[in-house]
Amino acid sequence: MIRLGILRFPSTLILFCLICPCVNAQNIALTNAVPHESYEESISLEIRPYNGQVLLAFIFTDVSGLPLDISDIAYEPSFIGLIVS
Amino acid sequence: MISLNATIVSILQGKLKADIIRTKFENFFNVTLPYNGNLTSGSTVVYTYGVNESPTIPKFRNAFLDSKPSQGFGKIITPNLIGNYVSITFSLMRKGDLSVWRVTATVNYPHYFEKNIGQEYTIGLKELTGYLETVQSSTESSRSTLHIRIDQVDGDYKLISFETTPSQMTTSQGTYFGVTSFDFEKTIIGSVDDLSLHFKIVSPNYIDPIIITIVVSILVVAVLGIMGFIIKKRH
Repeated sequence: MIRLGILRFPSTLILFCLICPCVNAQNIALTNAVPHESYEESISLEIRPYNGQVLLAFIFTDVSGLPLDISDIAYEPSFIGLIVS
Repeated sequence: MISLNATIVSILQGKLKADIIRTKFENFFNVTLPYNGNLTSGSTVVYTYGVNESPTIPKFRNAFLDSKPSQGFGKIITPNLIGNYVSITFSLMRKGDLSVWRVTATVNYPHYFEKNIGQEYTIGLKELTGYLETVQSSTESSRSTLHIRIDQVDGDYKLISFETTPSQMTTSQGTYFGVTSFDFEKTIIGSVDDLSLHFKIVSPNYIDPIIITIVVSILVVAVLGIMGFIIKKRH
């Protein structure tokens, strides 16, 4: 029984050594595949039958606040909007 | 046009803060935005800086085209689409301790269709934009959402027979000052064929045939039941 246990030990070790890089590689792949958590996108289709108008809006949101930094203006303002039309 | 909106102690203090932010926008977009004035609405003062002529407007449009994502939903946006009838909003908001940068491009299709009672319509992104590929979410995005809204003027017309692409969108509705808005939303991962809505415009007095069938069936059953009861009683 003891001999069998010793025999099994290297096999388990080899198996462990073989599995480890695979698991690590999978973890790395999963980490790389995780989307940018602060970025969101959406499309909005708005139909107004009363005047036959259709609006199609594309919205891209970045929670990191880039590319403008307003950290030096404390908590003001709560909103800045720039409208080009 | 640029609007800066701040909750402030005084109009003058707010103006100083607004000017600091205006400078940031000017530096970022490489434009000059003259001060137009301010408006007060409740506890908010809106400082307006504006230009409405070339070359500043095309500069903003180009800034949007340069900064828009090249994949995901951003792929659908082309310089042709951002031609006429487009409104682009760059906004920066506070969300707790975080600042949120949001860019919205709204393409307007005025008088796209004529409202006719009894007619069915299908209106979708592909037809509007001329985009031929599938609508694909970005792998960079943590949330990719598709949304459809349609308005029903309750006294004027009724909307029925809704079918959406993609299917199985979450539905909600709300009525505000006699206008009922129907909302459809879905968060996607991967791609969908289109973002479209099929609907039918009917008269505001329209009653669903299923309801008529149910009412008629109940009446028939009731009449037959009464007749059966009378016949049984006579015998």
